[in-house]
Amino acid sequence: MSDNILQVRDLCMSFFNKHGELPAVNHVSFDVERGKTLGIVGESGCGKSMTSLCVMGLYPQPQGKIVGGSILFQGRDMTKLPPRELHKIRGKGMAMIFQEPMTSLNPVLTIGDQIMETIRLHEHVSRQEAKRRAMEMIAMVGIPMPEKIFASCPHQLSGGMRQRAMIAMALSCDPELLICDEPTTALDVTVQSQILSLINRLKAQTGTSVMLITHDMGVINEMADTVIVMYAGQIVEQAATADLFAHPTHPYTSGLIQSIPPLNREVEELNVIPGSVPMLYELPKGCLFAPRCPYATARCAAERPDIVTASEGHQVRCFRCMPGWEGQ
Amino acid sequence: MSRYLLGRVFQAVGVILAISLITFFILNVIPGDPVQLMMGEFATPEAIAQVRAQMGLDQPIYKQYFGWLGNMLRGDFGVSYFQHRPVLDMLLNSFGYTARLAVFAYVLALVFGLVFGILAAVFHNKFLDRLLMTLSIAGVSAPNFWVAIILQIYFGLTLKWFPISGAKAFNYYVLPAVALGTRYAASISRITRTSMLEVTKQDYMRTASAKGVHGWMLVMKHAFRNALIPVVTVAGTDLGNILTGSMLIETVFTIDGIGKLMVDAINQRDLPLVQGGVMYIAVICVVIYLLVDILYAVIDPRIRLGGGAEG
Repeated sequence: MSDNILQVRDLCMSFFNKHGELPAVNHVSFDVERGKTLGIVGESGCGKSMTSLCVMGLYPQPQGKIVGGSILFQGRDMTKLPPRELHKIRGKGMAMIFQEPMTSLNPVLTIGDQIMETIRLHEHVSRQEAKRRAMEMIAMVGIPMPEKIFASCPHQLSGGMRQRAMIAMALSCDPELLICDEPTTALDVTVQSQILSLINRLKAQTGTSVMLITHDMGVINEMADTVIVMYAGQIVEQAATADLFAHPTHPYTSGLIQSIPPLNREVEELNVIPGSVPMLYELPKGCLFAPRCPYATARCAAERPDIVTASEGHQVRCFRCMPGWEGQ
Repeated sequence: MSRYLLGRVFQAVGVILAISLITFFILNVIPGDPVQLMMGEFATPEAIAQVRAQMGLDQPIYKQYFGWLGNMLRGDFGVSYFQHRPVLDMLLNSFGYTARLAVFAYVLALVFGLVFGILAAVFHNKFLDRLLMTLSIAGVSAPNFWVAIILQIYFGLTLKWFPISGAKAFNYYVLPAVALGTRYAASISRITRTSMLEVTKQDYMRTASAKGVHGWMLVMKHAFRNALIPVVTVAGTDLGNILTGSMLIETVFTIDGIGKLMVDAINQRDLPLVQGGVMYIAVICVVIYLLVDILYAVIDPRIRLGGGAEG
């Protein structure tokens, strides 16, 4: 077997409400290699966060339900494990950091308490030992004065410090997989790059694999080894990062890359992709991206394309990459 | 923390002084002459004037106020016009009954309110939640004197488990405590449930789950403590209400508590007793709100430690 820490195969998660079944995650397959970073990119509402919550088993229940596929983590299918086993894996096998460091820490517990809680939950160590390790973690994520921060409450820290504390908490039990859901979106740009390089440094130091969810192509370029681009719950393109930026093949990926503001020249107007991600209850009949696609044809409006291999390690869900496309 | 505390204590003293001022002047301007009432219809104007002078009621009103305030600070609340006993003795005597009833009722209200509220939130939208919330609506809506009478009829007269009037021993308090506590239990359970459900939606609950926290630890350590602030507010107000006496319950069960004492005093225009009673109620309320404020700070470090690096 390959050295994949996580294998997601054909994952389908749907919400069930008055509109019927709404596919939020639609036949998604990907691997996370040991020690590597997988980036998941897409606009708000494209299913990237839901995918990561499915992996953790934390998707909203009972409205949401995994209706198909498998999530193999260290060879065990997360979708079939009993809750008891899931509790053991969360925080220990895989850990997660979230977008909003402001609201993601419990306001009534000190930072130290919250880090120690994770350690004490998963490893049978004494209070002193847990405290020692918590301090070590706080120092490791580059927080000055660990003793002071240990006893502080979240509201006394800045956003960047809180996100560092979140990372310390997430890494406190040496997880094999760290899921970062928009870890820097709520932070200032300078703090953002500090946090990203911290994640990279810790990844190298601990050998943990990273699943990084973001809407920022710049962050992807900096961090990811491989990328999946998601749109309306589907993967539309999947490739190694360098390959993806050199040869963006799906029109949506090209659109995302073109909408990065260039730094070296002035622009009159930013490139934008017209329209927005469709609501799950009004998905188009054909290709999900067709209504916003500059290359859309009659076929795109009528049928949904399958995902196909465009070149070695590069997969695209677009009719233009299929044999028989005449460039209509 | 100590600055927060000191500020609250100063506020509390200010509020009590303000209430004493308002009470004194309002009671002195409302119609109804206590001396006239006390002496009966056939008293001569001379006799009335004499009694008035004896009681200090002919003095200018601000002098009367400061005299009253000064005496009160020395523990002298004056003497009841009608029963000719020191007001403080009468208040303390009634307070004993009210306090015992209040403690039983409040413990019932807290235990059932919190447990039911937490259970309803944990089993949100399930049968248990619906059952408990239906009960709580009934509990909030049922007038407590009606609950009292139903309890008297069923557990007192039919089953003969508990006495239905008086306050001679512990078992005398069971029915009144249940009748009085029901509404508070219901309101505490509703606010607990609402607050818990609100907290469950917060990001930090997801973080806790992502760490592997689950079950009752998630509910009690992460959710309940965050849900407590609104619960403490309601439970504190409730404690104030219970301790200031329930006129209806005390009347129905013939318990000589503060509520009953006050109603009688107001009907008779027994000014010293009414003033003393109002001051008692004011002090109880202010002290309880002070305790509630202190509890907030104990529960929530954001209040205890002030702003910090928000934003």
